[in-house]
Amino acid sequence: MEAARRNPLDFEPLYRKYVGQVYSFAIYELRDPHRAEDLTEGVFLRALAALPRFHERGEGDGSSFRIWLFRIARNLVANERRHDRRHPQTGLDQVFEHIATDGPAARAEDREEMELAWRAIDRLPEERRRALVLRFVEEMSTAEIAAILGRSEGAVRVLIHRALRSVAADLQRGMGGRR
Amino acid sequence: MSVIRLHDEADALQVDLYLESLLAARARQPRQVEGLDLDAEERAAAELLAERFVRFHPSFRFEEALAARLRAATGGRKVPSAVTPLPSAVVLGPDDRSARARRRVLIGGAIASGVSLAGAALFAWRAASTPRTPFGRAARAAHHGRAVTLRKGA
Repeated sequence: MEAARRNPLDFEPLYRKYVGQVYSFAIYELRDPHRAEDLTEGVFLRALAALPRFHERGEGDGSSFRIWLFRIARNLVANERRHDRRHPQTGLDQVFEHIATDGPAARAEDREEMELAWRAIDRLPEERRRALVLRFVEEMSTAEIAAILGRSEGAVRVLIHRALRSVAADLQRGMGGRR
Repeated sequence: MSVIRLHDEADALQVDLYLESLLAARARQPRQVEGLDLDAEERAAAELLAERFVRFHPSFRFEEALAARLRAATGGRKVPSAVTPLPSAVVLGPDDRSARARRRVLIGGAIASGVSLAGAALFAWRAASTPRTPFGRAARAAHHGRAVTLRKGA
């Protein structure tokens, strides 16, 4: 990280390490592969431009660079949300098309469960959904999520618990409806 | 702090401990975490999300196009106006946590195990090696302490 700050040419390893995580976060937030690519591009270009102002305060998995990167991503998503208010939002169907499994019938169950999970989090308030995605997809610690969302660790734990409770109730209803 | 809130936080802490174990175990075999008083439906929901919330990775072409753009920005070379939108076939991404390398990832619209793909080796090699392209060498040689130059609007 320090090397990249001193010499921007060393930024590439950081980009390679985090590009999948940022893109994935963008997909879960925006549900549109093309917009996710645009957002990923924006995040890394902004990070590169702002790199001289960044100061590392950790190492390895505790690196504050990832937190900083996701804060940039969160801000760009907020800009996108403002755009969404003026334009129709992308539906979940586009995501399912993107992640469609083209395999044999055995995969139909995979797809069904994935859709169920997506639809369950889709009904959550934005911050709860984001906390779940950071926890489950990005596998971040509560401390990292707290730093990204600007909340206390206790608040994030409660946020995640409530989100999980909502998802559980929703899944129960969904499964009941299928029986 | 109210009793209700304290109770809420105690429950949340239990869930947090459970999720920590669940996600840590994801790379290995799923296992039951003992000693936590957790609602069965919440536990099932957590397991479903852990299983079904896969990480996506951008297409190889997008990743390379953006890498080139970032290299150009750091080397002061003319930056393309935008990365051309490309089809988003999803490929295996390098996971920074090797212990979780066996998690499911989405590859070209299908789900597969990460370790089974030659792509993993390619990414690992790419992540570990220093740039050897003529442009990379030239940019490094030309750089020598130059500040970041990024075109306005980039």
